[in-house]
Amino acid sequence: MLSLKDLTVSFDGESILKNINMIFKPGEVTVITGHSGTGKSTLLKVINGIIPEYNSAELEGDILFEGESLFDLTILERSKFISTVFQNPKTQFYCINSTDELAFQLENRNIDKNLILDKIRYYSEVLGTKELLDRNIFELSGGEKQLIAVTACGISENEIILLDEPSSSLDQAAIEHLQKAIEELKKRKKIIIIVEHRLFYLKDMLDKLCVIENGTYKEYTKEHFCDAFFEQVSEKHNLRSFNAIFKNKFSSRKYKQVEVLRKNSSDLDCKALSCLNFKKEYERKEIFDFSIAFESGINFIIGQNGVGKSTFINLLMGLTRGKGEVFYNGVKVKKRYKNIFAVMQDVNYQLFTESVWQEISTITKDDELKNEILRTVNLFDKKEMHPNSLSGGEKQRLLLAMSMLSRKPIIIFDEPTSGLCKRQMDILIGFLNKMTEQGKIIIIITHDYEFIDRCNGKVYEFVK
Amino acid sequence: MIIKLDFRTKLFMTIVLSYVMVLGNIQTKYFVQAILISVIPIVLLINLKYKRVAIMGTFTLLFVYIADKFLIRLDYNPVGAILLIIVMVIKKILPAFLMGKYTILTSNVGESIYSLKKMKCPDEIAIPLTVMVRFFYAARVDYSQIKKAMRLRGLTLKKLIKNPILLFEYRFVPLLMCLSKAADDLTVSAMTKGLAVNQKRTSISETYMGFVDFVFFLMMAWIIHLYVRGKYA
Repeated sequence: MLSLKDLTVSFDGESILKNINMIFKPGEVTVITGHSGTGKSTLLKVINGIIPEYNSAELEGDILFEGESLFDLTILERSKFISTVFQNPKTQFYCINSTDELAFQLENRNIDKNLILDKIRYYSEVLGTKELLDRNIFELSGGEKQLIAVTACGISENEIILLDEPSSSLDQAAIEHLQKAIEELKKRKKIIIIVEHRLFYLKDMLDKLCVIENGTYKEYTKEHFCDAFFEQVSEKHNLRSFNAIFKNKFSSRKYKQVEVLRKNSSDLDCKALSCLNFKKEYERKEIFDFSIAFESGINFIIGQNGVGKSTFINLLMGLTRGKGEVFYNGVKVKKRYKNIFAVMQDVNYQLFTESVWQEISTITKDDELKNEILRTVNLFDKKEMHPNSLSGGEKQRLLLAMSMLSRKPIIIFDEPTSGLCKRQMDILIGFLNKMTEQGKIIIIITHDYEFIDRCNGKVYEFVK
Repeated sequence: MIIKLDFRTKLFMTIVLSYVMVLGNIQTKYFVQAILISVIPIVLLINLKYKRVAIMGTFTLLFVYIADKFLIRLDYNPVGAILLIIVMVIKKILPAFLMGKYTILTSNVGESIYSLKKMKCPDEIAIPLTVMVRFFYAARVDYSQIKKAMRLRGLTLKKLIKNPILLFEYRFVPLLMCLSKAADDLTVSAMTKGLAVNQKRTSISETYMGFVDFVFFLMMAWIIHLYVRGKYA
């Protein structure tokens, strides 16, 4: 049993979590949710020891596991019974080969080679990750990476498993797989604590729900759980939906399946943006060969991982080699970057300068416009700050501001809701609607059906 | 047949090739041998199907050797002299570069820590070394993403070439930011997985010095012999 006793966490004298008392039992799944910046991830870091050993903070109270205080133990000592799946799948692996990564923790414990291999075989079978063995981790999709991380938790046979927003960049199929893997670990009597914004896939295995708000928390236990309760809670705390949304819900609006391997040129005329004869091959395999056209307003592109969505927008933006012509209002677009603004999945790559003000000055010289737009996206107070010290949501808003200033007619988003809480998602939707009013063509790649459901817009599903 | 070398052999070869080819005068004294030596990493790369690197290496090699022969015959002129220097530098660095690339591409973290430990290399050196290998991977991914993002903002090489300081800033500031974050994340993830200095650990990879390793060690001995003879005899 793991228990938090009067836990208070403060940064520079300002307490972010106050008097938290929680109990986590083996075989129970606890989900911790709440808005961004409320300290959910902080709580996980306090449990696995990253705080205070790596990031400094003042701690009061205690954390007990099997009656012993964790505060006396280092990260290393805690790693013998705590495993963590981090939010960013890119940097949570130490090895390059997936099997090596799975073995890594046991190698560090000086366990016999054959025993390690047996455990890898057993857990990859049980968790359904056998086909991911012996692969280059850099070539796996986000979902596959998270599954490797979860399998590593299983193999370590640690009693406590912490997951920090494991679903944030996963598609529907990968989320289902993740859900099954977590259920399998639950059967093995692990203490599972998940910090998450997207809640629908956790509904059925949930034992306890904690909502963190303003430094304190509300705890709901299993007895109360029913559909009406979930609705009420998500209303009350402004959480994301507990109900899974399926793509057939979009059939009432404009929904189109696009076969990316079939050259089709139907209804391409009189659209604002047409992409003609887009063709791309990779290692002699055809990824797509088709034409597609978009109207102004919001256009969603959905489809399984690997179907070629990202490759398609990369080609549209002129970032990868391939064939195809782009017409905007009937005129051929030569320099794509002059017409297209992109907000990519990892916003960190897209900010180059030393302050918010300088960043936005790369777009326009007009000071008044700049001030105005910074006020609209709520970043006016932060205009002297370094872009990298902003939170993920703020960085995205800065890019939104730049996209609105840039006067480029086409704006492309790649997974814009990854890691956003409900409130930030609502803000994003507000801006998208504003851009629609300005007559922009917005193309959004996403796996997040709840987000699509809350926006108006056409849906294109890419299929092979 | 697939040649599988022990990490220690690869490391030794990288060191020998970079030292001998950069500091020695094999290229001028033993022309044929120099080409043979430069071909070793290319053969190894082809053997493990890293075709792209191998082809690029072969062409660069051919190009610099031909360019060298051509340029050296020209009468003196400043541009020619500068080109000749560049070509000579590439000629010297290329084998070491390809060998290093091979070592990085084919070694995995567990195996390299294990081999280095067997060589009685202290953890304080072995662990950072392996992290560096892992880090290069992350850097490559990050750098290509940043270049893409810049192109989208219209910050192309053509526009910024007149202002190299700005180009440097736009490319490297975000890269350094991403890398320092990646370094932090990697450290934390390694700690939560129980990697520590001076502890006993096992490895699932097979590492032993075999016959092939012996052959390559002999080859390196021959190269060192050439180096010594070229320099002092």
